[in-house]
Amino acid sequence: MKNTIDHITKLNRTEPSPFIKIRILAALEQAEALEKQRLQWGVVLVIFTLFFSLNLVAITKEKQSENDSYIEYSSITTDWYAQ
Amino acid sequence: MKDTPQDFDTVYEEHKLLVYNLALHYCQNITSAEDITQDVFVKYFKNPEKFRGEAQLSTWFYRVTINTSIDFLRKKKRKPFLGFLDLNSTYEPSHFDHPGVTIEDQEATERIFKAINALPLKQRTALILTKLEEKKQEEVAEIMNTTRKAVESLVQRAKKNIEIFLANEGF
Repeated sequence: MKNTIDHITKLNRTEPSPFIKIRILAALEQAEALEKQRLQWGVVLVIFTLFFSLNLVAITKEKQSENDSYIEYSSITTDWYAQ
Repeated sequence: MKDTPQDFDTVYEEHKLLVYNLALHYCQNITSAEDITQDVFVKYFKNPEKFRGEAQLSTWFYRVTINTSIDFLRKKKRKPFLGFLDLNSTYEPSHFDHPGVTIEDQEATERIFKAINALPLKQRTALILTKLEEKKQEEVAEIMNTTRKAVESLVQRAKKNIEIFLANEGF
């Protein structure tokens, strides 16, 4: 039993395949390209959100001014009905 | 990539044996160890400035290789139907392929690795670092972020558990 556990310490250190280095460099390049793409999409999303929010503000303001221009007639109507 | 190619070469050449062989001890399979090695170096080179403050770069590589290997084993663990009920399932490499083992030692080593794979993760890490990587207990304690006493106890328990596992398997 003891021999088998000691046995395992005699493992030789081995070199990884030389292609690993190429794979790592390729993976890093891919990761960089992906990051750039993400950044581009991020910018597009920010511009779209900004445009959408500004539009929303403009619409709300327009509605508000439209509402303000109406004459309040509900009280007049009620008064007339009461007569 | 933020590092210069020279930096890449230096760091890679200095740590490739550490990362690759440690990954091999965890997964006992060349293809898987290569995938883990790639992941570890990509993690480092994606953000090298993040790790400049480490006391020793090798300690960082040990820690990240251990964590990446554990993540890999968790993903690879076979999940049969209703696998969540099988709490005692252990990792078994699809094909035992450790290049550090000679053909005549293959069977005995595979048996021991089967016992190592059945150990709880902390015990496994302590045993791999002290027995297979031949690190001092103080160094293992630093890598595992624990005390020397705790490492000693983990190794003792790991050895006992291996004995029990092998006895149950009839060896």
